[in-house]
Amino acid sequence: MAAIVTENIVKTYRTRIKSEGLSASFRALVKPEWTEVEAVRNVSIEIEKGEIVAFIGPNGAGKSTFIKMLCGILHPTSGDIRVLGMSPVKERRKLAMGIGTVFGQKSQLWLHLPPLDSFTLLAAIYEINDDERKRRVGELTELFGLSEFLKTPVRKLSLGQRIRCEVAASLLHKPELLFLDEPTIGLDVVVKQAIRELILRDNSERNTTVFLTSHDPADVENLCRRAIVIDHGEVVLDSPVEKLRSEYLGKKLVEVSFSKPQTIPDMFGVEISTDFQGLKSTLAVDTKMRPIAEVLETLSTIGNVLDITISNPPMEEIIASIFREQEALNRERE
Amino acid sequence: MMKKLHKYTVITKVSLANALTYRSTTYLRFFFYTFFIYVFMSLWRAIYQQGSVHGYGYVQMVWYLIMTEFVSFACGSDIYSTMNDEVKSGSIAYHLGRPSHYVFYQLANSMGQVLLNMMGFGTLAIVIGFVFVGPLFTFTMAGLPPLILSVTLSILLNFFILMLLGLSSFVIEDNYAFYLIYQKATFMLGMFLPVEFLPSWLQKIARNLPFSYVHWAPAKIFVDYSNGLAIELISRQALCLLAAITATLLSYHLAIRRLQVNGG
Repeated sequence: MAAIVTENIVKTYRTRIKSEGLSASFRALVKPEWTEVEAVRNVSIEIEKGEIVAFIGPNGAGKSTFIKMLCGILHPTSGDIRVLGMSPVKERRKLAMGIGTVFGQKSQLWLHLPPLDSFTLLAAIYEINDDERKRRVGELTELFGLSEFLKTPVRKLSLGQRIRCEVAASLLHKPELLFLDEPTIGLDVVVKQAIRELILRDNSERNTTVFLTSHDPADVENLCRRAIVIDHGEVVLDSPVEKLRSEYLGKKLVEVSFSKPQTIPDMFGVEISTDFQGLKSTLAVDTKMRPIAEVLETLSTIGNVLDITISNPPMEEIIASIFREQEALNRERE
Repeated sequence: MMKKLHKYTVITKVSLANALTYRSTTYLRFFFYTFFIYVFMSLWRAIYQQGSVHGYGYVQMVWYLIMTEFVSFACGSDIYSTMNDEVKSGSIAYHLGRPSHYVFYQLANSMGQVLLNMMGFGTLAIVIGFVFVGPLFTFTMAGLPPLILSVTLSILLNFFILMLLGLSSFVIEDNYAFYLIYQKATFMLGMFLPVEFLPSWLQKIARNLPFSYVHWAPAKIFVDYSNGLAIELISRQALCLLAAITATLLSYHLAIRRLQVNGG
């Protein structure tokens, strides 16, 4: 059964524009200029119950606007949305009982109170009785490892601790569908991994549907089975993550620093750029053509390595290459 | 129904717990409240060397001021700026994504702070009044229940008008002018001066606008109590409140369709 179905969703809004300069500011006082922005254009998707789907795209692509329409917070200009079989526009408060949200850059916890008070408040809002609340808070405290700071004011928590509480808060009422809007933003690698494991665990134990937006390719790789790429409000790719991984996420960036200037030999599947007279180099490795272990081995043999880091290419770069490929495909078809 | 009522009661309890954490702000507000009263009391003392003005004696005028400041400064709501901030920061998304009514959530949330202020500033107001000018002989204990009702209606009326103004932030970016007009209107029509001090043509207008019923009505009942006056003013307050609630709920219904949240 589908958890989310959207058909030709469009969201446009009017925004004020102003030309450069003081005279334009005065003109805008008398005659303001407006422009219509199409934030979401004809998006049609279907997500089954229990799926973990990444909804990715560059900043301003329309991801958050789309999530807010799915939650019933924003109303679409046209098109049809069904979430858990309900219309978010007409049944927003009823739908809210079945969904949980985490907006990574905003907080739902009361800053000056301990998380426990926010949990009490949320339990009341979701009409959870006292016995169930105590049981559920106990479960989540154990699952998310919150016991150490459950009674500490939120303002005193680290970002990682706060996000754990945010995710726990969104799961308090056992939602069938979880919207995660950049839940790992600003977190260190260890905490990111912990959050991912918790989300996966909730998905496998309760078959929760997860709809995730993130700028971190590792979130997509480690959490999701399907990725929908959106750009300028339009879906440009809807594909299994496995395919995305082999075609786009297979590239790794290796940054290496040497104690003395070194010349790195050419390797098949590796693009090399060198700075600081050979002291520092960046290698873009296509892991389908050249295993990362081989590259590391080569680097360790050519000189004294001071530092080495391996990272994923930025999401923007992945999306740009998807975009380039889609355009090439379209040209071929034409 | 009970579950729904319980929901909003818990919101008020948590909001009260939150308000209790702002200790230094509360003390600072206590200081400024006392300071305002003292400054205006000195002003009225100079004016009242001529005798009574428009039927208000000096002691009544100071208690009038204590009451209007109690309603506006002590028990006023910051819902207008809260709503603006929530729309601008996008955090409103959390409130709207929950199974609670945004308007009543904000009301329950505001009441935590108001309850604390009513207790704290209420005690301070009585102490200041007695220390500065002594007891108000025109007021009897029989007038206490209608006075409490009138103050409650005032606080709610002020809240719903501010909420109505705050709802404009759903649709337009810069809504500060509305707040400024409301602030000045309430200041001139009852908060700083009793309505009786205004020119007769303006008095007629003021008595037919909701602004006077925020400050003037409870202060007038307090300093010039009579059963007839209390019934008349409380009825008018209730009518204004009903209109404000209806307008707020209708506006919310319309504004929510046009909401634009920053950052998507």
